[in-house]
Amino acid sequence: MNCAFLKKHLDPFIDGELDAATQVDFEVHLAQCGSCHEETELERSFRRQLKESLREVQTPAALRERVLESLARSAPSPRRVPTPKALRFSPLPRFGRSRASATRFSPAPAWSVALASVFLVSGSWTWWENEGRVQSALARPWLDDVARIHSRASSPALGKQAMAQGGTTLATSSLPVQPLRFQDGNVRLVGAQMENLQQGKAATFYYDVGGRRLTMVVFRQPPSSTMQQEKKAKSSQEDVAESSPPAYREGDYTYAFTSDMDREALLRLAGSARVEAAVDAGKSAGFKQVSLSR
Amino acid sequence: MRTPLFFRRKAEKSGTNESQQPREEFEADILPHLDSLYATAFRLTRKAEDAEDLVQDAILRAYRYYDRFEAGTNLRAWLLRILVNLFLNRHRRHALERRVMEGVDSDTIGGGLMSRAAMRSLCNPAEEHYRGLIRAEIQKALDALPEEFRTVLVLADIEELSYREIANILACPLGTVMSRLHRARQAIKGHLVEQAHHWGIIAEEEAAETAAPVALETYRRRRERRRSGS
Repeated sequence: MNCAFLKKHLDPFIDGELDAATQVDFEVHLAQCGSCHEETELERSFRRQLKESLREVQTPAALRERVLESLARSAPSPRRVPTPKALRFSPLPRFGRSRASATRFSPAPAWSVALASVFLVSGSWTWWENEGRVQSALARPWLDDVARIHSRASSPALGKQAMAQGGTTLATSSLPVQPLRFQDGNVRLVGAQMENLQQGKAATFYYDVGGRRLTMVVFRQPPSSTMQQEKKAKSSQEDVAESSPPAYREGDYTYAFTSDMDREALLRLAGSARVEAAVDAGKSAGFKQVSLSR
Repeated sequence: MRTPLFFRRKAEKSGTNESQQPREEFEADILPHLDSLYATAFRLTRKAEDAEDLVQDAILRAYRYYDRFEAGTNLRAWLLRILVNLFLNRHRRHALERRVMEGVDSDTIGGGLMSRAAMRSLCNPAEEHYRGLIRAEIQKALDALPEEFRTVLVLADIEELSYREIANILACPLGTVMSRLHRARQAIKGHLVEQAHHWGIIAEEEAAETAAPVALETYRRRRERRRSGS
């Protein structure tokens, strides 16, 4: 890796389009080379400027009505063949892939929100489990850590730190996983950092959702977690379900969410999350240098 | 909070006539993407009325072909694909612009690099006053881009679609997406540097040295201006 190579491929790198191993090689080079680091940061700030400048488009209030009216007038759509549940929500969300092939989860249709309400009212979160999108097989210590990180971050210090950084991404480029994107435009990333937990390292992302806080902790599945333990955790899900944060699992990684919001809102938000450029762990040689846990 | 929502949903459902159900389902699926569709349409057409028409046409078309949408894939990308194709079909006549931008003449000069000082003052302007100006200039520069370059930039930098998704939408190779995206960004930078020079944010020599004229034509024009000035 040299500077010329990095500069030549700066665009796909910043866009998160390189394969995971190369992306990490770039990050490693950036950590060592001030000049490339500066150049990359400038390019990123240009992108931010570009995005901010072009984002400000206000959808006319009347458009929604207009569209709905024209739909009502139009011929009925050919009836869709009902999709089997398993297809609608793929059993294993294809997480942790580069942006090039990042999967965006389609928002839950109205009926499933209604369905979710049923489960939520009855005080369980098996909805996700039923849809096969989320696994709750988390080891207890990790769960506690997720909750602890979230409550600790509410100290004024983090708020100030986030403010000082202009509420923008804090060096997420140095983390092995990238923050999630949410469909909801109100979700703003305000901070990110690595955490040294007892069980290993974890990447923490702090989001602001219209004044409420959302914390996402990404960590490697505890190494001891074998299939058997997963089964055990599943069967004991009942007693942790109520307090456990919703979490996705993909490969070695667990993405756990905690928030000040009510659970329904959190579930919906988490359901719309999209991985931007996560690192395919383990498979890439360069990854070890920044791996989440040993 | 939860219970009323549940009952409301249930009430809506029970009052639903069987034939309306696919439409309601479609509406519930696409309405969350309305802002995205409109923002893209507006950036592409540059006019509010045209954008509204485009969004409406795209949604009607999507409704008609909704059975072809592959469940579980990116609905927003699918909707954008319909919208972008409608738009491009209506604007193919501007092929000339495209050729100029993609042709040999369009080779950037000096690699199209902007100096770091220039970049810094443009992306993090010290004076609040310039922020609005820069914003307006970026919009102007985008509007000046030929359709297909504008499309790529909007899809990549605003809608944040992947290269692959954009290539699918435009039915072109990945390399074309990358080169168009690069040129589009360089063009905007070039425009900004020129403006910054006019405003006096960056020194004239610096602008002349580091600006990224997109086409030879721009370079010649600038040279002419310099000559007539001296």
